[in-house]
Amino acid sequence: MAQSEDTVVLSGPTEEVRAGYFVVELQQISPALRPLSLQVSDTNSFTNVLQTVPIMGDFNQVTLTGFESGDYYIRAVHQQRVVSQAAIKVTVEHYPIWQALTLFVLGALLFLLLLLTLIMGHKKAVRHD
Amino acid sequence: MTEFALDTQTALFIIVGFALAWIAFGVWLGRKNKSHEDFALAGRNVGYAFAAATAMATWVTSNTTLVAPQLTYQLGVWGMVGYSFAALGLLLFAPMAKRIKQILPQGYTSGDFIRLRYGRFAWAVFLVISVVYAFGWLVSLGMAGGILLEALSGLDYYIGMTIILAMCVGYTLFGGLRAVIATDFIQALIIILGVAVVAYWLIDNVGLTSIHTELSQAHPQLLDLLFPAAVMFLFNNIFFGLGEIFHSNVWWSRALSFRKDVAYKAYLTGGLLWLPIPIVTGFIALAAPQLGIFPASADMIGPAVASSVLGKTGAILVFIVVFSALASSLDSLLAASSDLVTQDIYRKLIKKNASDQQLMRFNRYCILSLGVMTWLLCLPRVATLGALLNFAGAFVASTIWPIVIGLYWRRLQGIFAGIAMAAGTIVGLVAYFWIGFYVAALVSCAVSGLICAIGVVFNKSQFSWHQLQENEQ
Repeated sequence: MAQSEDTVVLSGPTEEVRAGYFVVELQQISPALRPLSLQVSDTNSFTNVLQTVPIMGDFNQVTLTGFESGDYYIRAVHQQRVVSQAAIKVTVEHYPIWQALTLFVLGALLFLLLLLTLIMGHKKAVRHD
Repeated sequence: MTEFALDTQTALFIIVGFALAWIAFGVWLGRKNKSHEDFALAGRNVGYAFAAATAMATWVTSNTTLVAPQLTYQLGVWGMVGYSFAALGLLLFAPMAKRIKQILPQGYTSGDFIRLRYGRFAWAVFLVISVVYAFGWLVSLGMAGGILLEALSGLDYYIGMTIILAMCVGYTLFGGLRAVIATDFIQALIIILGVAVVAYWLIDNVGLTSIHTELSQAHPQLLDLLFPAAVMFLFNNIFFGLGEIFHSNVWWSRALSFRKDVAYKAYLTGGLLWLPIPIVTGFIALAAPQLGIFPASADMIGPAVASSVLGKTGAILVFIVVFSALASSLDSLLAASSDLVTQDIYRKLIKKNASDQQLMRFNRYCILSLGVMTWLLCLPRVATLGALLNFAGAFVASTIWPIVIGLYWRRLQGIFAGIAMAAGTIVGLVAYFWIGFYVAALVSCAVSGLICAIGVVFNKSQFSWHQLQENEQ
């Protein structure tokens, strides 16, 4: 019981993150652990800390963003002391670029067609004026 | 204990002050309303300055001030650039507004056009789409008002949401479209000035180089122009914006209320004025990591950064800007939706011989009822702002082709237009749930366009433009 008062439980997305941003939730935060930060690393041993993210006010979650594809490890820290019971692992896997570009090209063609229709219609209407 | 950027009393003082001032302004402007046409269309005599300001201010919604920074925080540079492409809706509506004024000089609503051009089946489908969209937008605006006040000042969500709704219903009820357009003009000035001040302060205090360095090191994806989710989002967002503007009576009623030859220039100017606003509000979000701000929820990022950089002054500024943005959209939507119900349902289906005074009275009851219904739907906070809006994308994008073709060409029949809107919406919704929000509007528009193309190819009869004048008596 004593251990849960000075530790925090972290939870994040369980499935692959497809757009590089995700929410990390924090549970069982005692007021004594504020201010609280999260450390983000690309190794389980946290030898290379990529980011240190302060948690706003007394909110129990934070939205992290801008990650490239890869595995990330996250733990909670209070005054240089690790306070999360366990680090969580989040996997970021962006959509394949071909899939994104296919939708982009389809959208562009549809838009071009709409634009041409509108321009032709407008010119026709002006002529009839 | 969370420290809010504004204390609750200050927030309450500002919001009540604004509410009383706007309602008094609405009452004062309402004295000029002698007929239903005055009330619903401001006497069809709105000049260029007011017309351009109302086009721009109405399109600056809670989305522009809250969701544009959110999308930038999530999708990076493409988030803000892509969001600014929603200006295409206003720019492309400019020639259409001119055409609308030309072929429906005495028309009242977008529903009028669909009914006369395509008949009752397409009209029924169109009304369902309009109602779903209008309520989605009204509820999202009401919710956004409550959430904003709660996030900045700790003011209870229900109190904030109730005050903002009551204020907009109040001045729209007394002043009609004239009050909506006049308040939009002032709100547009507040929005432009406020956004520019926050951006200037940010560049001056944080600096572009340090923002870029921080992003490249810790959040590289936000600067990546081949960010897949952001690339997917781009055209979907464009079609969503086009669908919103092309179908909604908010924009049609404005086109019909503007003086002759004003509509084209006004929408063009409104679009160009609107274009940089999401870039500026989005840029605010890019500074967040450099400032060490990581929000609990992504839609809090804009207000959080502004109040962090500018302190209490910034919080008040953000509060007033976002409040103005919300009010300028809420009042427009209340007025336009009540016009649609009055003209398309009451006058066409319930009381065909209604007098001018009866129409005006019914229109006011509608505004009041819409306000009450919106308030009731806002109470449970059933969905997030983003979820509500993206869902509506599947509906509105299906109307793009039937409206564009219907305005300029004579060969599309009502049955095809109705099926195009219904099928586009259904397939768009399937795509929304099966694939994701970022394809719903795109799929809906593509399916609807395909059915319209088939309709144009196989139809041999031609619509007579004179049929649009039949309701003038």
